[in-house]
Amino acid sequence: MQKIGVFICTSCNIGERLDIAELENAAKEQGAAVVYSREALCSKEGRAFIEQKIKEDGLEAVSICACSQRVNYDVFNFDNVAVDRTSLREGVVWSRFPLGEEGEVLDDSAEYVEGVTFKDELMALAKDYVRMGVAKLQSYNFPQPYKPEEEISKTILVIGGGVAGLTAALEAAKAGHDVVLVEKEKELGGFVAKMKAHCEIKPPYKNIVPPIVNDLISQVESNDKIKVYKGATVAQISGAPGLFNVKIKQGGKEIEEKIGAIVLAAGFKPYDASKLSDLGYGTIKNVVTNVQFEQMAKEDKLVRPSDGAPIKSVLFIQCAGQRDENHLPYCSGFCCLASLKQAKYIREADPEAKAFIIYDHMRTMGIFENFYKTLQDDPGIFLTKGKVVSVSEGENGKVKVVVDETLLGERLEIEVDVVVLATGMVPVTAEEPVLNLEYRQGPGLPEEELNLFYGYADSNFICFPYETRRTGIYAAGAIHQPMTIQQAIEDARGATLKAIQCLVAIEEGHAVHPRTWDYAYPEFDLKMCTQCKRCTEECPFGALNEDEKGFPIQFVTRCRRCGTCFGACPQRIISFKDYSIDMITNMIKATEMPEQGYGLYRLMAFVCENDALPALDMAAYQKKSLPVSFRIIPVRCLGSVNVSFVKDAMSKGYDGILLLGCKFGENYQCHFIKGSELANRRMENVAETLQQLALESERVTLHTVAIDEVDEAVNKMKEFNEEIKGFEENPFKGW
Amino acid sequence: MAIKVDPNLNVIKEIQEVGGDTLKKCYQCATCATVCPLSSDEAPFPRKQMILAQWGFKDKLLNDPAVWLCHQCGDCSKYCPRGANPGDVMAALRLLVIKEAVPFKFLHTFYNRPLGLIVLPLIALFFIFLGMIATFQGMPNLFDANSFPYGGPHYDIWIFHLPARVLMIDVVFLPLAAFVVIILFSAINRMWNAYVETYKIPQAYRYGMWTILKTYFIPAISEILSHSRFVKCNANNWRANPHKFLLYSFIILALTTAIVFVMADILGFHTPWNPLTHPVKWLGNIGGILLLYGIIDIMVGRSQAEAEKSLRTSYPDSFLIYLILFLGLTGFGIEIIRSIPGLKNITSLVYLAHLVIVFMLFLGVVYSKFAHLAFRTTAVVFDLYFKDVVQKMSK
Repeated sequence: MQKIGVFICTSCNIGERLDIAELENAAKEQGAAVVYSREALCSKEGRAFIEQKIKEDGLEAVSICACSQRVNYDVFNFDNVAVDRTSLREGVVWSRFPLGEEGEVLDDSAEYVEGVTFKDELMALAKDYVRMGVAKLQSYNFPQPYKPEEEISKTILVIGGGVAGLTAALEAAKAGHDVVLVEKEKELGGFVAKMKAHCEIKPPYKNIVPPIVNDLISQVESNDKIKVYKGATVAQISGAPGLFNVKIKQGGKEIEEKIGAIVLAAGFKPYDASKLSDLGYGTIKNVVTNVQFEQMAKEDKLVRPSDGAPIKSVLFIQCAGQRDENHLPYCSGFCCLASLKQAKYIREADPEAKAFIIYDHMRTMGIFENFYKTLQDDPGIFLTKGKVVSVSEGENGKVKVVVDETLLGERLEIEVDVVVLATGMVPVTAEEPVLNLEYRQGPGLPEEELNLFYGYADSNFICFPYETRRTGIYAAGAIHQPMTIQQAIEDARGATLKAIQCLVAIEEGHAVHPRTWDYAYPEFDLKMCTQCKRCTEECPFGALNEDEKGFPIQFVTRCRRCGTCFGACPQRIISFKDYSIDMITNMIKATEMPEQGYGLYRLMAFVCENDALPALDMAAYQKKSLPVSFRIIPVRCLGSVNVSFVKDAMSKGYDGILLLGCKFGENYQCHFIKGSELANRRMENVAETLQQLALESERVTLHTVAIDEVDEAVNKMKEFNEEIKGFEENPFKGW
Repeated sequence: MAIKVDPNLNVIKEIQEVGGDTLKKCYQCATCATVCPLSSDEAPFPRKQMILAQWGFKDKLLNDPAVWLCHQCGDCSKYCPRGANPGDVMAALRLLVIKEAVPFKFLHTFYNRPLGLIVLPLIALFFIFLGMIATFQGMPNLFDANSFPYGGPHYDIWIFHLPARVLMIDVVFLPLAAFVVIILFSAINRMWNAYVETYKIPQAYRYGMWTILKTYFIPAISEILSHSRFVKCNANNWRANPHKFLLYSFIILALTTAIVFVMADILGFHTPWNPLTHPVKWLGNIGGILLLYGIIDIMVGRSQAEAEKSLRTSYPDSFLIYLILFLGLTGFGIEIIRSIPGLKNITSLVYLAHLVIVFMLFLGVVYSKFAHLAFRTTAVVFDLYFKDVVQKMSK
């Protein structure tokens, strides 16, 4: 960009605390074509003023030196003009204050160190920011939408023909998409088709109804837009969203389909009850699982398996092999409801029959409390919290169950005809890849992600409930989370909507998620590539494959624009049109570094713009003071911080560098799942770089904060500021 | 030791039928036991009684004094998140205990089912007519006050000089009182022993009856007279006062009856006495006024509580309330009507009605909700005893 205009706002205390004329000079020195300052740039008049100047001066890019990039982004948006935001308000005048010994705010003219007032330091900071803004735009190129050569497919592949899969297929077809549905078994319907009945999925949620899945099956089979493959599996998925090439194996033959996006609804398997021999399974004939009991009910054979005598009493053991570190550590969420339903079966068959339910906690999710209430009111259903001590053979073919720690305050011995173990769900992703992706990082969803969710194809439920770590593939139903029929229907709708959104984004040529507006994408200059494979290994989304020689093969529509590859590349061959190594290098260069012996340190902070930056903006709104020594560069993800940034800043003379990212680990909050975690891992390389420069490794530190940890973010910066004071000045100052 | 469980669905249905219809709604959150102002740390209620009832543990409920320590304040029902109305269930459990504690269970059925409205007066009339025919030597004219009650022969038995109406009352009500006392005594005896077993009172602390009465009965009576438990109720705090008036009125009326018995039956100062000048009549009238005041106050309070849903009034509740109301009305009725010359001849019928009601109330001490008079007193005595034992053992 050549014609850059700088607009400095004087409102919101900027004009009061800063010398605007000096800032204008700094911008001009940096190479801005024109510089203007006026009050209230965000007002109607202010915006009109900018538009007018863009036209008059023929500006290609504007640097708005006013408030944070997180506010007024809709106001400062001009067609075909690059916009950068320099935060003088949140970044300078609302967050840097001269503090007295007791924390009181002093006058800016107060002497900071000998011969330097706070105002001097504040102006140095503001000028650095203004210059960095100009430097950034100087390295900026307009992104172009990505348009693949191949035609984009808008067909949606649904894997699994249960309630979730059928719903997804119907919803996608209703929205006008062609659908390919692949079902492993010979018939559609999945698990629900094997049920006798289930709780109604509409008010009053008190009764049981025949499986709704029959209706869904006939709708799917009569829909022209849905192509159904029964008795088929997905043999291979290659390509990328919008351009998937899917091989489907049916019988002996293999069929290829062009697919745009995928809904993964392959469901669950019941937990292997043979591991529950301590509850009598396998040794006592009249101990069955809830799945077997359902089958018995469906076949109208509610009799004792041992001798075919009618069932007069049944005892349900809840959480059998669940919420137990030795079995399934989680709650499957449906079993309490299922046991109540099955209790109803036997109570309806025989008014004198008795059903006992021994639970740890009754969990009938959501509105299904109504069903619980209704069944609880039945005098023949006996509920208590309790721990099953033993299950053994009783007299006359009965099963004797001893329960302790009951609500009755007694150890109970109950003899029943049949014991039902309420076993849980195991997602099929826990055992097989299902997707069979032709991806460099493996055929299934990433192991580490699955492990976070006990094998379920789940993700952060607040930020991205449906997105798996493979772009364009959305999980729904019991493969996603343990859930009931109604939840699965809702879930399938959500996942389908996400698949459709994905296709729209690909058609538009921008990123799918979470940087949905972003047209830029990483571009590789392979001439310089050393085949180190860091990019292909580290990409959190498996967007890159490798050729035989180890060069990366790029699939742009898989990419989420986190810049992790860009941060990883030691050769610095990856760049975005609007974000590059050079850009950051130039920004660092644009700052002014005092001579050796100035007495005050300069620190650089690379801050995640998804969590840490909003936290710092919040701190500014609360007028919390940050050390004036910090220059902050917001980054899209800590994963996109290249070691060269650190090298550049150190060479420039910065005394310390703070990386402020989001939380990683079990309760990660990273928009790109692993960005801050990878940045943390790269700290070893950073330490090596510092060693080469003969600097202490403590000069570069990484901290993580959540978006709401405002005080934490401020304190980390203050602490780092104090720590660095323990080191000598950076010897590279003034080189 | 594990206890064998094979619940009887009929027990659950039985509790549901006598006012505990909401009992299965309880999901054991224990809000009730927490908010109950009367529940103690040593033996909290009614959470546990709710699940015992849900599982049909009849024996455990019968032997549980907590069922009686509940005064049906209604705090539990008011705060129950599930609409399980523990207060009402406890009331139903008390009816169940009464039924199980006494012989001749058909009488219990009459007291707690509308059928009894016909049968019970017939039973009363049967015994009264029997006594009447015997003492009046044939059926007197019930439309003539000078025939009944103020007619009939006079009897001189040993040193006593008794008119027919006095002898009639003695032959009907003295055996009835004896019947009630014997049944209650044996029921209380069994109940006490069961309580002692349930709460596992160590042998060393199992005192004889006289020690128990001496040590715990007197404090229990003073507690009952002051209603010190009842006044702790929150949701239905209005109940303590009218109930206290009612209790006092029964005490006064019992005292009056005793004085009349001594003066008339033994000493031969026979009624009717002048209501304005005779001190015993004063006492009786004060008792009667208190009784009417108390019962009307209870009726008004209950209808308000029903509107607020903190208390439900079941058939057995209404039955006793109206019985007491008519007791008061007929009692004053006799006094008023016989002094109005034009109405004097109806006195016989009102007097007869009054006797029928007194008969039903006497028998109700065993079979109706009225039995709480004896059983709750027993439970309170046991409660004081148990707490004392716990305290002594912890030392």
